[in-house]
Amino acid sequence: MWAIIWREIRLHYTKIYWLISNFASPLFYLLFFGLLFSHAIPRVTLGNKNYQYLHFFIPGLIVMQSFFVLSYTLALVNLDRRTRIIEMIQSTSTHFHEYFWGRIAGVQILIFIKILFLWFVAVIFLKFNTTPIIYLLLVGLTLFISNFIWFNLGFILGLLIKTEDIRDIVIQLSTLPLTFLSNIYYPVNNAPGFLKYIIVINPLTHTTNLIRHALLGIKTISFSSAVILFIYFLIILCLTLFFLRKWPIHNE
Amino acid sequence: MSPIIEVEKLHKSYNDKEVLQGINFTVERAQCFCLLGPNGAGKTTTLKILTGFLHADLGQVTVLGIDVLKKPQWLKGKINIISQHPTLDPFLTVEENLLFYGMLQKIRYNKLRERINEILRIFEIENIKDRITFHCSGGEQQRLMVARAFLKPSEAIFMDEPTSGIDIMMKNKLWTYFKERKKTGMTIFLNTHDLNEAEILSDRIAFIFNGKIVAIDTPARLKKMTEGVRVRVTLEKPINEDNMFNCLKSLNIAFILNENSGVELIAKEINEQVISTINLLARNYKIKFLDIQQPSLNDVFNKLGVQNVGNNMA
Repeated sequence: MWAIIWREIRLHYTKIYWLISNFASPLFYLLFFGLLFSHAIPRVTLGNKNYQYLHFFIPGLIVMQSFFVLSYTLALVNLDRRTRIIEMIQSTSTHFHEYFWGRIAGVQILIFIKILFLWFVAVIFLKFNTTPIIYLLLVGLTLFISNFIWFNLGFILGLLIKTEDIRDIVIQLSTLPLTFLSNIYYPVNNAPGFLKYIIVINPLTHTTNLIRHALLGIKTISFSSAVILFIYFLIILCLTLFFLRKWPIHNE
Repeated sequence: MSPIIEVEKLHKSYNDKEVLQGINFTVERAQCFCLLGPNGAGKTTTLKILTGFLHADLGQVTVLGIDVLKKPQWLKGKINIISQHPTLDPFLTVEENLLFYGMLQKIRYNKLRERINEILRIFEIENIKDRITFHCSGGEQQRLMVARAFLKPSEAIFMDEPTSGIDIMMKNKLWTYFKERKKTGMTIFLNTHDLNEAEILSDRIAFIFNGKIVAIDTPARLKKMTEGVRVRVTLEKPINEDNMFNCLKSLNIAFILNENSGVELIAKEINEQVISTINLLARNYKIKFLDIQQPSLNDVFNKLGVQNVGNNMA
């Protein structure tokens, strides 16, 4: 398992282009989406308080980094499958389960570093209020669960998808609708018709709810969002355990 | 001593096509066994079943005493494999790829670093150790694949066209290294189309056509299956068939008349009869050029190909 974690960290923190993409992309989102939307929606009311748009957006941006685990994992696991690295790993003393746990540990480390970076940027440059430690623990737990959900989904899809075009279609079709049909960028209280239902079943909505409430220090933490996210976690966990048991050394 | 690899009545089908039709063979310790055959004959399928990466429909496969069809996972880490396609991380450097593989094989870090330095030197890839694998040429990547397979000592190695894309100088060095490893007790299972490689490395060769092993023996014995030695004699003046027949009738030797005053003598080996024939031709027609061609695996391959697949093989 250490070999897998070592490789993940090695790739991301020693190669300059990976390093730039890791830390520059959240800043670009903050710069472009943040500035654009803060003109359209200068202030947002949550609970009984009014918040600047950028303060409203930061938690959403953090959730988005966690959501990108899906496309990132899908692409890299799929690459490992197509370059037969998984086959090679299966021939060594390392078990396939170790590949799974190594990757998930690597991803969790990477995402937390990325989010901490974003958090510091927000506190220093945007005067984002620091929240009590108990709320930060809630943020950490929510992110851990969210990363787990998206990683597992990406891992399973990465192994099942056989061609690059299907991989690209899946990434395109999942990323855009799921992020825009959630409360990452804007409040969705007045969403029209059937879109409301999609927003309600979208796990991103609930992750954002929990993290936004915790980071902005809103005392009424959404209990229903926590329950829904936990249900997603359990479903994905069962699916993964089933898949790991079924994925054999004979993979053709 | 029991064989390292034992294969009995192995069958495998893809959809309706039977790619392995009950093949049998054994490989002894410290032997190099080669499976030779055209594309699609079932070589890679056999290797994948032997290394536990593919289910067989029927039969029995034992590698290092492990029943591979029942317990493929027991083979993990006990053998080394060089696969036909590169299985390298394109984003890591050459040295990092070796380090990654060594860590996957759970070699202790200090020992691993020492071994990597040794391997980089043996396979002459020290100069490219910091190059990203994606930027290495096909031959360099293949050399890295071979080098990586020898990082961890093992009793058996399975190689699927290990030197394809590698230049002849390096091929010779690799073949010498493989032979040295064999002397230390390593068993080699080799899949190749390179007849030269098969001849240099193998103790036994099995010819496989359409999923059936049609011949299995040492290279020397296999070569005896051919018509034998071909002696090409080019004469100074032309000779017709009648003259040739009269000249050679007492010697009872098979011959073919070629264009441009050429005669081809066919015999199992260079014996007195052949030497007498050459002397006779030299006396009567004067020899301009003489070429003796020993039987080769190519002749065996072509002969078996024609017998088992048809004329398009030859």
